[in-house]
Amino acid sequence: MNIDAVKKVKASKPFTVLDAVILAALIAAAGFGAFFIYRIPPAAVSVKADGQVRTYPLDEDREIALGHLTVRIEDGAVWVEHADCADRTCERTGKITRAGQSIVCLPNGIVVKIVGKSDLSWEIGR
Amino acid sequence: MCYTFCVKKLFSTLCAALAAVVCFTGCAASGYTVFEPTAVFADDILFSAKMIGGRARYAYERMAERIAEIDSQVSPSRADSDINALNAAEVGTEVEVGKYCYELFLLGRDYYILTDGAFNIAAAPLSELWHVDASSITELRPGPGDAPVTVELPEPQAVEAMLSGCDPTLVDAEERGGRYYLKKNADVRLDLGGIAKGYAVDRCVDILREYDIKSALIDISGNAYFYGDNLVGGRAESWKVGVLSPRPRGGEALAARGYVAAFSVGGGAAAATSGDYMRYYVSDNGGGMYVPHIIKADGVPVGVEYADGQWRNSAEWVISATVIADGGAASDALSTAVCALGMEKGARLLQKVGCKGLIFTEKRFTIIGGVELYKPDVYDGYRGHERVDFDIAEDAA
Repeated sequence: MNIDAVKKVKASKPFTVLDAVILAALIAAAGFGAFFIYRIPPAAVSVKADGQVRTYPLDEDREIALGHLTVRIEDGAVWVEHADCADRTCERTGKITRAGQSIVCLPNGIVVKIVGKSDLSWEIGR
Repeated sequence: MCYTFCVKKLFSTLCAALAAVVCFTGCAASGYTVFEPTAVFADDILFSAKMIGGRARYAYERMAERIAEIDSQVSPSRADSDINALNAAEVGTEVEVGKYCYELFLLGRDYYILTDGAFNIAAAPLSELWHVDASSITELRPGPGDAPVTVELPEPQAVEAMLSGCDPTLVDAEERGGRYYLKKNADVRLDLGGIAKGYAVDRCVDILREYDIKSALIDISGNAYFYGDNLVGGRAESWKVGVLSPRPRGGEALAARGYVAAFSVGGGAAAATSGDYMRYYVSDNGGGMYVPHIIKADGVPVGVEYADGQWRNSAEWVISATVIADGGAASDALSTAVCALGMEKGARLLQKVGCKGLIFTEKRFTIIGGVELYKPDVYDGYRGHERVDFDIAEDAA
Protein backbone atom coordinates (compact mmCIF):
# COMPACT_ATOMS: atom_id res chain seq x y z
CA MET A 1 0.00 0.00 0.00
CA ASN A 2 1.63 3.21 -1.03
CA ILE A 3 0.97 6.57 0.46
CA ASP A 4 -0.58 7.90 -2.78
CA ALA A 5 -3.36 5.37 -2.67
CA VAL A 6 -4.15 6.23 0.93
CA LYS A 7 -4.22 9.92 0.04
CA LYS A 8 -6.55 9.18 -2.86
CA VAL A 9 -8.98 7.38 -0.65
CA LYS A 10 -8.79 10.12 1.95
CA ALA A 11 -9.40 12.73 -0.73
CA SER A 12 -12.49 10.98 -2.14
CA LYS A 13 -15.66 12.28 -0.64
CA PRO A 14 -17.38 9.66 1.52
CA PHE A 15 -20.79 10.85 0.49
CA THR A 16 -21.27 12.20 -3.00
CA VAL A 17 -24.14 14.16 -4.45
CA LEU A 18 -25.07 11.10 -6.51
CA ASP A 19 -25.35 9.03 -3.32
CA ALA A 20 -27.60 11.65 -1.80
CA VAL A 21 -29.84 11.66 -4.88
CA ILE A 22 -30.08 7.86 -4.93
CA LEU A 23 -30.77 7.72 -1.22
CA ALA A 24 -33.42 10.41 -1.46
CA ALA A 25 -35.08 8.66 -4.40
CA LEU A 26 -35.15 5.33 -2.59
CA ILE A 27 -36.47 6.81 0.64
CA ALA A 28 -39.20 8.45 -1.42
CA ALA A 29 -39.95 5.08 -3.03
CA ALA A 30 -40.06 3.43 0.39
CA GLY A 31 -42.38 6.12 1.66
CA PHE A 32 -44.57 5.70 -1.41
CA GLY A 33 -44.70 1.92 -0.90
CA ALA A 34 -45.44 2.31 2.78
CA PHE A 35 -48.22 4.73 1.92
CA PHE A 36 -49.90 2.11 -0.25
CA ILE A 37 -49.57 -0.62 2.36
CA TYR A 38 -50.46 1.45 5.40
CA ARG A 39 -53.08 3.54 3.61
CA ILE A 40 -56.29 3.16 5.53
CA PRO A 41 -59.12 2.94 3.06
CA PRO A 42 -62.47 4.44 3.99
CA ALA A 43 -64.92 1.84 5.27
CA ALA A 44 -66.38 -0.27 2.49
CA VAL A 45 -69.00 -2.97 2.21
CA SER A 46 -67.79 -6.32 0.95
CA VAL A 47 -70.50 -8.61 -0.39
CA LYS A 48 -69.69 -12.25 -1.05
CA ALA A 49 -72.27 -14.08 -3.13
CA ASP A 50 -71.96 -17.02 -5.56
CA GLY A 51 -68.31 -17.30 -4.57
CA GLN A 52 -67.54 -13.77 -5.80
CA VAL A 53 -66.68 -10.79 -3.64
CA ARG A 54 -67.73 -7.29 -4.65
CA THR A 55 -66.94 -4.16 -2.68
CA TYR A 56 -69.08 -1.04 -2.42
CA PRO A 57 -68.39 2.24 -0.58
CA LEU A 58 -70.22 2.55 2.72
CA ASP A 59 -70.92 6.24 2.22
CA GLU A 60 -72.90 5.81 -1.03
CA ASP A 61 -76.53 4.75 -0.73
CA ARG A 62 -77.47 1.81 -2.92
CA GLU A 63 -79.56 -1.31 -3.26
CA ILE A 64 -77.90 -4.59 -4.25
CA ALA A 65 -80.38 -7.22 -5.44
CA LEU A 66 -78.91 -10.70 -5.11
CA GLY A 67 -81.94 -12.78 -6.01
CA HIS A 68 -82.43 -14.48 -2.65
CA LEU A 69 -82.16 -11.20 -0.76
CA THR A 70 -81.51 -7.50 -1.13
CA VAL A 71 -78.62 -5.70 0.55
CA ARG A 72 -79.30 -2.04 1.28
CA ILE A 73 -76.61 0.55 2.03
CA GLU A 74 -78.02 3.79 3.40
CA ASP A 75 -76.73 6.54 5.71
CA GLY A 76 -73.60 4.58 6.59
CA ALA A 77 -75.56 1.48 7.61
CA VAL A 78 -75.98 -1.85 5.85
CA TRP A 79 -78.83 -4.30 6.19
CA VAL A 80 -80.59 -7.14 4.43
CA GLU A 81 -84.16 -7.02 3.16
CA HIS A 82 -86.54 -9.45 1.46
CA ALA A 83 -84.70 -12.66 2.34
CA ASP A 84 -86.47 -15.67 0.83
CA CYS A 85 -85.02 -18.26 3.23
CA ALA A 86 -86.98 -19.85 6.06
CA ASP A 87 -85.11 -18.57 9.11
CA ARG A 88 -84.35 -15.02 7.87
CA THR A 89 -81.50 -14.76 10.38
CA CYS A 90 -79.80 -12.24 8.08
CA GLU A 91 -82.80 -9.90 8.27
CA ARG A 92 -82.94 -10.27 12.03
CA THR A 93 -79.28 -9.25 12.30
CA GLY A 94 -80.51 -5.78 11.44
CA LYS A 95 -78.25 -2.88 10.58
CA ILE A 96 -74.48 -2.99 10.80
CA THR A 97 -72.40 0.17 10.81
CA ARG A 98 -68.92 -0.64 12.06
CA ALA A 99 -65.85 -2.19 10.47
CA GLY A 100 -65.61 -5.88 11.29
CA GLN A 101 -69.35 -6.40 11.60
CA SER A 102 -71.01 -8.84 9.26
CA ILE A 103 -74.35 -10.23 8.17
CA VAL A 104 -74.34 -13.87 7.14
CA CYS A 105 -77.03 -15.66 5.14
CA LEU A 106 -76.06 -19.30 5.45
CA PRO A 107 -78.76 -20.91 3.29
CA ASN A 108 -77.63 -18.81 0.32
CA GLY A 109 -73.93 -18.56 1.18
CA ILE A 110 -73.95 -14.76 1.29
CA VAL A 111 -71.61 -12.79 3.57
CA VAL A 112 -71.98 -9.01 3.88
CA LYS A 113 -69.17 -7.36 5.80
CA ILE A 114 -67.97 -3.87 6.59
CA VAL A 115 -64.25 -3.67 5.99
CA GLY A 116 -62.03 -0.78 6.93
CA LYS A 117 -60.50 0.90 9.90
CA SER A 118 -61.27 -0.30 13.40
CA ASP A 119 -58.87 -0.19 16.32
CA LEU A 120 -60.45 -3.27 17.87
CA SER A 121 -59.13 -6.75 17.05
CA TRP A 122 -62.48 -8.45 17.71
CA GLU A 123 -65.91 -8.01 19.23
CA ILE A 124 -67.92 -10.35 21.40
CA GLY A 125 -71.44 -10.28 22.77
CA ARG A 126 -73.42 -10.46 19.54
CA MET B 1 -9.66 1.95 -8.73
CA CYS B 2 -11.79 4.93 -7.93
CA TYR B 3 -14.37 3.55 -10.32
CA THR B 4 -14.62 0.19 -8.57
CA PHE B 5 -14.60 1.93 -5.23
CA CYS B 6 -17.53 4.12 -6.23
CA VAL B 7 -19.47 1.18 -7.62
CA LYS B 8 -18.95 -0.71 -4.40
CA LYS B 9 -20.12 2.26 -2.40
CA LEU B 10 -23.05 2.80 -4.70
CA PHE B 11 -23.92 -0.87 -4.35
CA SER B 12 -23.87 -0.73 -0.57
CA THR B 13 -26.00 2.43 -0.57
CA LEU B 14 -28.47 0.71 -2.85
CA CYS B 15 -28.58 -2.33 -0.61
CA ALA B 16 -29.20 -0.23 2.45
CA ALA B 17 -31.96 1.71 0.75
CA LEU B 18 -33.52 -1.45 -0.63
CA ALA B 19 -33.49 -2.96 2.82
CA ALA B 20 -35.28 0.16 4.05
CA VAL B 21 -37.92 -0.20 1.31
CA VAL B 22 -38.46 -3.87 2.10
CA CYS B 23 -38.72 -3.15 5.80
CA PHE B 24 -41.11 -0.25 5.32
CA THR B 25 -43.43 -2.16 3.07
CA GLY B 26 -42.90 -5.88 3.64
CA CYS B 27 -43.24 -5.78 7.42
CA ALA B 28 -46.34 -3.66 7.14
CA ALA B 29 -48.61 -6.31 5.60
CA SER B 30 -50.87 -7.78 8.28
CA GLY B 31 -49.98 -11.35 7.36
CA TYR B 32 -53.06 -12.98 8.88
CA THR B 33 -54.76 -15.60 6.81
CA VAL B 34 -58.43 -14.86 7.42
CA PHE B 35 -61.11 -17.55 7.21
CA GLU B 36 -64.64 -16.27 6.70
CA PRO B 37 -67.37 -17.39 9.11
CA THR B 38 -68.75 -20.84 8.33
CA ALA B 39 -71.61 -22.69 9.98
CA VAL B 40 -70.67 -25.37 12.51
CA PHE B 41 -72.82 -27.35 14.97
CA ALA B 42 -76.09 -25.66 13.99
CA ASP B 43 -77.00 -23.17 11.25
CA ASP B 44 -76.71 -20.14 13.48
CA ILE B 45 -73.35 -21.07 15.01
CA LEU B 46 -70.42 -19.59 13.12
CA PHE B 47 -66.75 -20.51 13.20
CA SER B 48 -64.25 -17.79 12.28
CA ALA B 49 -60.47 -17.81 12.44
CA LYS B 50 -57.41 -15.85 11.45
CA MET B 51 -53.86 -17.12 11.76
CA ILE B 52 -50.22 -16.23 11.16
CA GLY B 53 -47.37 -18.70 10.77
CA GLY B 54 -47.26 -22.45 10.46
CA ARG B 55 -49.58 -24.14 8.03
CA ALA B 56 -52.68 -22.05 8.51
CA ARG B 57 -54.87 -23.65 5.84
CA TYR B 58 -54.17 -27.19 7.03
CA ALA B 59 -54.75 -26.10 10.61
CA TYR B 60 -58.08 -24.58 9.62
CA GLU B 61 -59.18 -27.75 7.83
CA ARG B 62 -58.20 -29.87 10.83
CA MET B 63 -60.16 -27.55 13.12
CA ALA B 64 -63.26 -27.76 10.96
CA GLU B 65 -62.95 -31.57 11.02
CA ARG B 66 -62.53 -31.66 14.77
CA ILE B 67 -65.53 -29.40 15.34
CA ALA B 68 -67.59 -31.69 13.10
CA GLU B 69 -66.38 -34.67 15.13
CA ILE B 70 -67.43 -33.02 18.40
CA ASP B 71 -70.78 -32.13 16.82
CA SER B 72 -71.38 -35.73 15.72
CA GLN B 73 -71.04 -36.79 19.36
CA VAL B 74 -73.01 -34.09 21.17
CA SER B 75 -75.46 -32.57 18.67
CA PRO B 76 -78.99 -32.52 20.09
CA SER B 77 -80.46 -32.32 16.58
CA ARG B 78 -78.70 -35.43 15.20
CA ALA B 79 -80.59 -38.60 15.90
CA ASP B 80 -77.37 -40.66 15.85
CA SER B 81 -75.33 -38.49 18.25
CA ASP B 82 -73.91 -40.09 21.39
CA ILE B 83 -75.77 -37.65 23.61
CA ASN B 84 -79.10 -38.56 22.02
CA ALA B 85 -78.29 -42.26 22.45
CA LEU B 86 -77.72 -41.58 26.15
CA ASN B 87 -80.87 -39.46 26.47
CA ALA B 88 -82.92 -42.18 24.79
CA ALA B 89 -81.37 -45.05 26.79
CA GLU B 90 -83.15 -46.84 29.63
CA VAL B 91 -82.19 -45.77 33.15
CA GLY B 92 -79.34 -47.97 34.39
CA THR B 93 -78.09 -48.89 30.92
CA GLU B 94 -74.49 -48.08 30.16
CA VAL B 95 -73.95 -46.20 26.90
CA GLU B 96 -70.60 -45.98 25.17
CA VAL B 97 -69.84 -42.43 24.04
CA GLY B 98 -67.00 -40.71 22.23
CA LYS B 99 -64.11 -39.06 24.01
CA TYR B 100 -65.34 -35.53 23.33
CA CYS B 101 -68.82 -36.29 24.62
CA TYR B 102 -67.31 -37.90 27.71
CA GLU B 103 -64.96 -34.99 28.44
CA LEU B 104 -67.77 -32.50 27.87
CA PHE B 105 -69.96 -34.36 30.32
CA LEU B 106 -67.22 -34.37 32.98
CA LEU B 107 -66.61 -30.64 32.46
CA GLY B 108 -70.32 -29.89 32.56
CA ARG B 109 -70.77 -31.87 35.75
CA ASP B 110 -67.75 -30.13 37.34
CA TYR B 111 -69.17 -26.69 36.52
CA TYR B 112 -72.58 -27.76 37.85
CA ILE B 113 -70.94 -28.60 41.18
CA LEU B 114 -68.62 -25.57 41.17
CA THR B 115 -71.49 -23.15 40.50
CA ASP B 116 -74.02 -24.79 42.86
CA GLY B 117 -76.27 -25.66 39.94
CA ALA B 118 -76.15 -22.26 38.24
CA PHE B 119 -74.57 -23.91 35.20
CA ASN B 120 -76.65 -26.97 34.44
CA ILE B 121 -76.20 -29.39 31.52
CA ALA B 122 -79.31 -31.29 32.68
CA ALA B 123 -81.77 -28.39 32.51
CA ALA B 124 -83.31 -29.28 29.12
CA PRO B 125 -86.75 -30.22 30.55
CA LEU B 126 -86.90 -26.86 32.37
CA SER B 127 -85.92 -24.99 29.19
CA GLU B 128 -88.82 -26.67 27.42
CA LEU B 129 -91.20 -25.95 30.29
CA TRP B 130 -90.35 -22.26 29.92
CA HIS B 131 -90.32 -22.36 26.07
CA VAL B 132 -86.69 -21.19 26.04
CA ASP B 133 -85.23 -24.28 24.33
CA ALA B 134 -83.52 -23.61 20.99
CA SER B 135 -86.51 -24.37 18.75
CA SER B 136 -89.14 -22.57 20.86
CA ILE B 137 -87.05 -19.43 21.25
CA THR B 138 -86.39 -19.25 17.50
CA GLU B 139 -90.14 -19.14 17.04
CA LEU B 140 -90.98 -16.84 19.96
CA ARG B 141 -88.20 -14.26 19.89
CA PRO B 142 -89.54 -10.93 18.75
CA GLY B 143 -88.76 -9.29 15.44
CA PRO B 144 -88.89 -5.51 15.10
CA GLY B 145 -92.20 -4.16 16.38
CA ASP B 146 -93.61 -7.55 17.36
CA ALA B 147 -96.20 -7.64 20.16
CA PRO B 148 -95.65 -9.77 23.32
CA VAL B 149 -96.61 -13.41 22.85
CA THR B 150 -99.13 -15.48 24.73
CA VAL B 151 -97.48 -18.59 26.14
CA GLU B 152 -98.40 -20.95 28.92
CA LEU B 153 -96.19 -20.20 31.92
CA PRO B 154 -95.61 -23.06 34.37
CA GLU B 155 -96.97 -23.24 37.92
CA PRO B 156 -94.25 -22.74 40.56
CA GLN B 157 -94.98 -26.27 41.85
CA ALA B 158 -94.36 -27.72 38.40
CA VAL B 159 -90.95 -26.04 38.28
CA GLU B 160 -90.05 -27.31 41.71
CA ALA B 161 -91.17 -30.84 40.92
CA MET B 162 -89.06 -30.92 37.80
CA LEU B 163 -85.95 -29.46 39.44
CA SER B 164 -84.69 -32.52 41.34
CA GLY B 165 -84.55 -34.59 38.14
CA CYS B 166 -82.49 -31.96 36.36
CA ASP B 167 -79.24 -33.00 37.97
CA PRO B 168 -76.15 -34.14 36.02
CA THR B 169 -74.69 -35.85 39.11
CA LEU B 170 -77.37 -38.53 38.53
CA VAL B 171 -75.21 -39.73 35.61
CA ASP B 172 -72.17 -41.93 36.22
CA ALA B 173 -69.06 -41.73 34.06
CA GLU B 174 -66.44 -44.41 33.62
CA GLU B 175 -63.39 -44.90 31.43
CA ARG B 176 -62.33 -48.50 30.83
CA GLY B 177 -59.55 -49.58 28.52
CA GLY B 178 -59.61 -46.41 26.46
CA ARG B 179 -63.39 -46.51 26.01
CA TYR B 180 -65.85 -44.10 27.57
CA TYR B 181 -69.16 -44.93 29.19
CA LEU B 182 -72.00 -42.89 30.69
CA LYS B 183 -74.89 -44.35 32.69
CA LYS B 184 -78.06 -42.61 33.85
CA ASN B 185 -79.19 -43.47 37.37
CA ALA B 186 -82.40 -41.54 36.90
CA ASP B 187 -84.35 -40.17 33.97
CA VAL B 188 -81.99 -37.29 33.20
CA ARG B 189 -81.71 -35.52 29.86
CA LEU B 190 -78.37 -33.88 29.01
CA ASP B 191 -77.70 -30.94 26.71
CA LEU B 192 -74.03 -30.04 26.37
CA GLY B 193 -74.74 -26.99 24.19
CA GLY B 194 -73.87 -24.56 26.99
CA ILE B 195 -70.23 -25.62 27.01
CA ALA B 196 -69.65 -27.37 23.67
CA LYS B 197 -68.70 -24.21 21.75
CA GLY B 198 -66.11 -23.18 24.33
CA TYR B 199 -64.80 -26.75 24.52
CA ALA B 200 -64.53 -26.90 20.73
CA VAL B 201 -62.48 -23.69 20.84
CA ASP B 202 -60.06 -25.39 23.25
CA ARG B 203 -59.71 -28.39 20.96
CA CYS B 204 -58.98 -25.98 18.07
CA VAL B 205 -56.25 -24.41 20.20
CA ASP B 206 -54.64 -27.89 20.49
CA ILE B 207 -54.43 -27.86 16.69
CA LEU B 208 -52.84 -24.39 16.62
CA ARG B 209 -50.05 -25.83 18.76
CA GLU B 210 -49.64 -28.89 16.53
CA TYR B 211 -49.33 -26.74 13.41
CA ASP B 212 -46.87 -24.20 14.82
CA ILE B 213 -49.21 -21.26 14.42
CA LYS B 214 -47.60 -18.09 15.82
CA SER B 215 -50.64 -15.95 16.35
CA ALA B 216 -54.32 -16.65 15.91
CA LEU B 217 -57.84 -15.65 16.77
CA ILE B 218 -60.47 -18.39 16.92
CA ASP B 219 -64.16 -17.69 17.44
CA ILE B 220 -67.15 -19.99 17.60
CA SER B 221 -70.21 -17.75 17.90
CA GLY B 222 -68.87 -15.39 20.53
CA ASN B 223 -66.50 -17.84 22.22
CA ALA B 224 -63.19 -16.26 21.31
CA TYR B 225 -59.65 -17.45 21.94
CA PHE B 226 -56.61 -15.20 21.55
CA TYR B 227 -53.53 -17.23 20.70
CA GLY B 228 -50.11 -15.61 20.94
CA ASP B 229 -49.51 -11.91 20.49
CA ASN B 230 -51.73 -9.84 18.25
CA LEU B 231 -49.33 -9.04 15.39
CA VAL B 232 -50.00 -5.60 13.97
CA GLY B 233 -47.61 -4.71 11.14
CA GLY B 234 -45.08 -7.13 12.58
CA ARG B 235 -45.32 -5.63 16.05
CA ALA B 236 -46.54 -7.72 18.97
CA GLU B 237 -49.50 -6.08 20.66
CA SER B 238 -52.28 -7.10 22.99
CA TRP B 239 -55.69 -8.04 21.57
CA LYS B 240 -58.30 -5.30 21.82
CA VAL B 241 -61.77 -6.72 22.22
CA GLY B 242 -65.03 -4.79 22.11
CA VAL B 243 -67.96 -6.03 24.18
CA LEU B 244 -71.21 -5.18 22.44
CA SER B 245 -73.79 -3.45 24.57
CA PRO B 246 -76.69 -5.62 25.73
CA ARG B 247 -79.11 -2.78 25.04
CA PRO B 248 -81.22 -2.26 23.07
CA ARG B 249 -82.02 -5.96 22.97
CA GLY B 250 -81.88 -8.22 19.96
CA GLY B 251 -79.88 -8.60 16.79
CA GLU B 252 -82.28 -6.24 15.01
CA ALA B 253 -80.73 -3.33 16.84
CA LEU B 254 -77.05 -4.11 16.27
CA ALA B 255 -76.28 -0.65 14.86
CA ALA B 256 -77.77 1.08 17.88
CA ARG B 257 -75.98 -1.10 20.39
CA GLY B 258 -72.42 0.17 20.35
CA TYR B 259 -69.86 -1.13 22.78
CA VAL B 260 -70.47 -1.31 26.50
CA ALA B 261 -66.71 -1.58 27.03
CA ALA B 262 -63.53 -2.79 25.37
CA PHE B 263 -60.62 -4.58 26.98
CA SER B 264 -57.02 -5.51 26.23
CA VAL B 265 -55.91 -9.06 26.72
CA GLY B 266 -52.66 -10.89 26.06
CA GLY B 267 -52.27 -14.20 24.25
CA GLY B 268 -53.44 -17.45 25.83
CA ALA B 269 -56.84 -16.14 26.92
CA ALA B 270 -60.43 -17.02 26.08
CA ALA B 271 -63.40 -14.69 26.37
CA ALA B 272 -67.14 -15.21 26.10
CA THR B 273 -70.21 -13.13 26.81
CA SER B 274 -73.62 -14.35 27.94
CA GLY B 275 -76.66 -12.21 28.41
CA ASP B 276 -80.41 -11.80 28.29
CA TYR B 277 -80.64 -9.91 25.01
CA MET B 278 -80.24 -12.33 22.09
CA ARG B 279 -82.30 -15.38 22.98
CA TYR B 280 -85.45 -14.32 24.81
CA TYR B 281 -89.12 -13.68 24.29
CA VAL B 282 -91.60 -11.23 25.74
CA SER B 283 -94.61 -12.83 27.41
CA ASP B 284 -97.83 -10.78 27.52
CA ASN B 285 -98.09 -11.79 31.14
CA GLY B 286 -98.54 -8.73 33.42
CA GLY B 287 -98.12 -6.22 30.60
CA GLY B 288 -94.94 -7.71 29.12
CA MET B 289 -92.37 -9.89 30.85
CA TYR B 290 -88.93 -10.60 29.44
CA VAL B 291 -88.04 -14.30 29.50
CA PRO B 292 -84.35 -14.93 28.65
CA HIS B 293 -83.04 -18.40 27.76
CA ILE B 294 -80.74 -18.96 30.76
CA ILE B 295 -82.31 -20.96 33.60
CA LYS B 296 -81.18 -20.27 37.18
CA ALA B 297 -80.48 -22.94 39.81
CA ASP B 298 -84.10 -22.50 41.07
CA GLY B 299 -85.42 -23.65 37.67
CA VAL B 300 -86.67 -20.20 36.67
CA PRO B 301 -85.24 -18.03 33.83
CA VAL B 302 -82.83 -15.21 34.66
CA GLY B 303 -84.67 -12.03 35.68
CA VAL B 304 -87.93 -13.85 36.44
CA GLU B 305 -89.41 -14.37 39.91
CA TYR B 306 -92.72 -15.45 41.44
CA ALA B 307 -94.44 -12.86 43.61
CA ASP B 308 -98.04 -12.04 44.58
CA GLY B 309 -99.34 -15.12 42.80
CA GLN B 310 -97.72 -14.42 39.43
CA TRP B 311 -94.50 -14.45 37.47
CA ARG B 312 -92.84 -11.10 36.95
CA ASN B 313 -89.44 -9.58 36.12
CA SER B 314 -87.11 -9.01 39.08
CA ALA B 315 -85.91 -5.52 39.99
CA GLU B 316 -82.38 -6.21 38.74
CA TRP B 317 -80.56 -9.05 37.02
CA VAL B 318 -77.39 -9.63 35.01
CA ILE B 319 -77.98 -8.51 31.43
CA SER B 320 -74.41 -9.13 30.19
CA ALA B 321 -71.53 -11.12 31.66
CA THR B 322 -68.15 -11.41 29.98
CA VAL B 323 -65.67 -13.89 31.40
CA ILE B 324 -61.99 -13.93 30.47
CA ALA B 325 -60.43 -17.28 31.36
CA ASP B 326 -57.49 -19.39 30.25
CA GLY B 327 -59.75 -21.70 28.26
CA GLY B 328 -62.86 -21.60 26.11
CA ALA B 329 -64.87 -24.15 28.10
CA ALA B 330 -64.29 -22.15 31.29
CA SER B 331 -65.32 -18.81 29.79
CA ASP B 332 -68.37 -20.39 28.11
CA ALA B 333 -69.68 -22.11 31.24
CA LEU B 334 -68.75 -19.36 33.68
CA SER B 335 -70.31 -16.52 31.66
CA THR B 336 -73.60 -18.43 31.71
CA ALA B 337 -73.19 -19.21 35.41
CA VAL B 338 -72.61 -15.55 36.27
CA CYS B 339 -75.88 -14.58 34.54
CA ALA B 340 -77.70 -17.26 36.51
CA LEU B 341 -76.06 -16.39 39.83
CA GLY B 342 -76.60 -12.63 39.73
CA MET B 343 -74.02 -9.89 40.02
CA GLU B 344 -72.69 -10.35 43.53
CA LYS B 345 -72.61 -14.17 43.64
CA GLY B 346 -71.30 -14.19 40.08
CA ALA B 347 -68.50 -11.78 40.99
CA ARG B 348 -67.56 -13.94 43.95
CA LEU B 349 -67.49 -17.05 41.79
CA LEU B 350 -65.07 -15.40 39.37
CA GLN B 351 -62.89 -14.28 42.27
CA LYS B 352 -62.90 -17.81 43.63
CA VAL B 353 -61.77 -19.40 40.38
CA GLY B 354 -59.36 -16.58 39.50
CA CYS B 355 -61.02 -15.40 36.30
CA LYS B 356 -61.50 -11.89 35.00
CA GLY B 357 -64.91 -10.54 34.17
CA LEU B 358 -67.19 -7.63 33.32
CA ILE B 359 -70.71 -7.92 34.72
CA PHE B 360 -73.55 -5.54 33.88
CA THR B 361 -77.07 -5.11 35.16
CA GLU B 362 -79.33 -2.30 33.93
CA LYS B 363 -78.16 -0.14 36.84
CA ARG B 364 -74.73 -1.29 37.91
CA PHE B 365 -71.55 -2.89 36.66
CA THR B 366 -68.55 -4.54 38.20
CA ILE B 367 -65.08 -5.40 36.98
CA ILE B 368 -63.52 -8.55 38.41
CA GLY B 369 -59.87 -9.55 38.50
CA GLY B 370 -58.44 -6.34 37.07
CA VAL B 371 -59.66 -6.41 33.47
CA GLU B 372 -57.60 -3.89 31.54
CA LEU B 373 -60.14 -1.61 29.87
CA TYR B 374 -59.17 -0.35 26.43
CA LYS B 375 -59.96 3.29 25.63
CA PRO B 376 -62.60 3.58 28.37
CA ASP B 377 -63.34 7.11 27.20
CA VAL B 378 -64.32 5.85 23.73
CA TYR B 379 -65.90 2.47 24.51
CA ASP B 380 -67.95 3.80 27.39
CA GLY B 381 -71.38 2.24 27.16
CA TYR B 382 -71.22 1.58 30.91
CA ARG B 383 -71.31 5.30 31.71
CA GLY B 384 -74.28 6.20 33.82
CA HIS B 385 -74.07 2.87 35.60
CA GLU B 386 -73.01 2.68 39.20
CA ARG B 387 -69.70 0.84 39.58
CA VAL B 388 -69.56 -1.71 42.37
CA ASP B 389 -66.37 -3.26 43.68
CA PHE B 390 -66.60 -6.47 45.60
CA ASP B 391 -64.14 -7.16 48.36
CA ILE B 392 -61.79 -9.91 47.23
CA ALA B 393 -59.95 -10.34 50.53
CA GLU B 394 -63.17 -11.28 52.28
CA ASP B 395 -63.66 -14.26 50.00
CA ALA B 396 -60.05 -15.37 49.98
CA ALA B 397 -60.19 -15.90 53.76
